[in-house]
Amino acid sequence: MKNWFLLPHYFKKTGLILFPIGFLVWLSIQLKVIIPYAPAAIKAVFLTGSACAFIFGFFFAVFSKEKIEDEFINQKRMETLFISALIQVILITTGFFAIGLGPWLQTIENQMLYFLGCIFVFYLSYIIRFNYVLYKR
Amino acid sequence: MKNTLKIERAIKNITQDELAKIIGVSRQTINAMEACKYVPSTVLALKIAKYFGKHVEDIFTLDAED
Repeated sequence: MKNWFLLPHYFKKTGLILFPIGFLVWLSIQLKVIIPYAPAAIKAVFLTGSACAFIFGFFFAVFSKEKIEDEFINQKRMETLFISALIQVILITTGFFAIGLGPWLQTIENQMLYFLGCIFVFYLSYIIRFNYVLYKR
Repeated sequence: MKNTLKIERAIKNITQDELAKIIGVSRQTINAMEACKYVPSTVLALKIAKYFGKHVEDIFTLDAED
């Protein structure tokens, strides 16, 4: 199987460093832990930069090759993608039910946040499960 | 499917990592095969058999569940 869509292996480490840093910086700015009194334009630059680091970090960590890509790794990749997709479908379905039935997701902001979270849960569950399967003893 | 990979490796006195490098796969693949958690493809089974100088069926055998 040719994995033409996968990035070289060194992107994996870059991604695994980049996404938590991006997330922490983004969260810190949002919670006003860092640069609370900075001008709005500076804040926007940092927010955009950290969000990009977060998104690209995720992308690099998920779509990069292992040191040796073989049939076993490919099989585990496929299995993990399937499981992550299943988790995402369950979350999205639950979200629609929550909108229809409960008071939890009534505002558009909450709905957007929830469905954005579903996308990131897909990537996060993929990273956790794939690396767990490969590196467990 | 059962296999005698661990025994063959012990006879040759090589580690999982060394065997993986010789065959051209990851160490995890050798580990998964030895634990019978992964059934290799025909190509990989043939490569392993060739390295140990045996027939594929000498190393890999079907068990009752197959």
